Amino acid sequence: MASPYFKVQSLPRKIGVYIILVVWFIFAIFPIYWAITMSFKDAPAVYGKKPTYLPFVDYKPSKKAWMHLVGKAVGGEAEFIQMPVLGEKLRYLRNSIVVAFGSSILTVILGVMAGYGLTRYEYRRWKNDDISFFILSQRMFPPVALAMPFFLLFTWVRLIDRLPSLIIVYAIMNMPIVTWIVKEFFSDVPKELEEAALVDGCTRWKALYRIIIPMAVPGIAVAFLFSFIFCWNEFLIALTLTFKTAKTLPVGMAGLTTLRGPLYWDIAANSLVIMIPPLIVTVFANKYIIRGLALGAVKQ
Amino acid sequence: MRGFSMIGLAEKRMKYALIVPVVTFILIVAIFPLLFSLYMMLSRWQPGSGGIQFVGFANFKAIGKDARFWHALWLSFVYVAILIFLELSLGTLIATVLQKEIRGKNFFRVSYMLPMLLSPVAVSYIWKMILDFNRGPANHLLTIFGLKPVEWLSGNISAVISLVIVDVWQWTPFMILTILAAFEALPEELFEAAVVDGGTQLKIFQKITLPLALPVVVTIVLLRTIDAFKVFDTIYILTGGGPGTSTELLNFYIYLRGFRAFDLGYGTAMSWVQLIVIIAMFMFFIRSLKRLGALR
Repeated sequence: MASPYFKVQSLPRKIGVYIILVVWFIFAIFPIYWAITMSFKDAPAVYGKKPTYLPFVDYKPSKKAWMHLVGKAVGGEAEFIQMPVLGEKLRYLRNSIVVAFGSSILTVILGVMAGYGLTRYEYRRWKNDDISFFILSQRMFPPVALAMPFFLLFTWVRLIDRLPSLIIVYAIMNMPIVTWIVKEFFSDVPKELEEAALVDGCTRWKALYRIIIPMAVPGIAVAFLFSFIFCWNEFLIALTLTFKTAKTLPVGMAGLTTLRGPLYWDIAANSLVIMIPPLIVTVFANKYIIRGLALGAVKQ
Repeated sequence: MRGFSMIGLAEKRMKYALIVPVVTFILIVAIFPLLFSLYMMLSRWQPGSGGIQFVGFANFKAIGKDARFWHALWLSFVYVAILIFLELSLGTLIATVLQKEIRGKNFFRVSYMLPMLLSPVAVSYIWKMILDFNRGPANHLLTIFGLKPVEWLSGNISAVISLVIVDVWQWTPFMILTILAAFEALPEELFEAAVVDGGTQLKIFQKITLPLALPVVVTIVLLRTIDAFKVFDTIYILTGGGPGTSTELLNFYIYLRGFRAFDLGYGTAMSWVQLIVIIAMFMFFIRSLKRLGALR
């Protein structure tokens, strides 16, 4: 970036720029910070006159909420207080992991095949653009419109309240973005590489998984991450298609407030559990996510 | 010759083997339910009514008279309009700032990205604590500035504002990052030439950055609009549609009728009306943008 346009030269301007950036930074990060501090609070720290902000300065941190989360009562508590957000024997947690992985793997396999086909071949009967549009059009429907027919259909085939139903519906919802991202990455892999492999006697399938896929790994990773985070966070479909055995973490969490009065520290710790995987992903894979977002929106 | 045709055949087989699974998967798992929902919208399906009954257009006649539906539809449009306006202006502002060479650019970019990736359910609970009337930091901040505390979640208008705040917090990052990507995709030489020609910052933004990035920005806005209409999780956790029906947006009302009152036929009919209204709006939008020359 050599052009002087990208430089901020005068001091007042510099200050202005940083004020904007810092204000938005505080706005963006404060809720996450609030959840973390809240999860280490205890009744006196929450029910005081003013909200408390700084551990050790404003209030004495307590491990209570986190002990509750792993199923241990803290000394002196009359009843065994534990919010079942992770489900009995961590069932909701397990469900969430199985659904997110299962659905993402399914979507990525199908997406890689479609993406490769759409970049390497011309489909005469259906036209490539029509297929792309057909896959993309799945994004338009509001989830609630999908939830109702799926509810009846899954009831009939006895998949209601079971994990495969969620895996299938999420795969459909993620297919557009996954195919799109993978396709963009495939079209960056030079065709010559593949042709060389074919001349050397590789079959197309071999060329695909020996040469093309390894080169497009970043793209596949981006697609997988997007799909995983979506499945992990999704709420409406899980709420309508599960009621007991197949509940995922967000659904388990949404049932909390009806059980007892607001135990803020427990709610904070619970919500942090749901937030931790995306937070880790952001810290380690933020470059990929930025790239995926750029592809998803800019190249259309 | 024979060898070649063998290869040709294998090629052809592979060509379709790649695409057929996806297309069949979508056909079976998405199109069939969709067709089925077309049938559902013409029927009544309630527990105890003895299975599905075909009722023709009765559901749509009922929608016409359903004041709650029209209220929800109107509210959804107002909500989405406010949201898009705020997120687009904030997103453009911050993207313009981040386009500059500044220290800590990547740090800001990554931290801005966080809210977007977090579970809306978890996030809503956190905001519920922040907006709490007695113990929330939001009201504490207001009292520091000598203002009156606000009933964030139980006032007719303030509840809508709260939902807007949470949405702006969570989804402006999408606007920031994608608009920034659009800006960064523009060729640098243009900016250099503009500076040499003596263009001011504002002029360059008006005459170069904005018009050139406009088609992409329009796409981003369209994508965001589609998603904004889908809002559900935050309403479910934060307000439950209340107080009264003042935060009952269309998706939430459809959910209530479909799954709480268990009137699946009526719910499906409403979701089709919603879909048609949104698509019609898009057609109008895109057509007028094309006429203005903003889109190719």
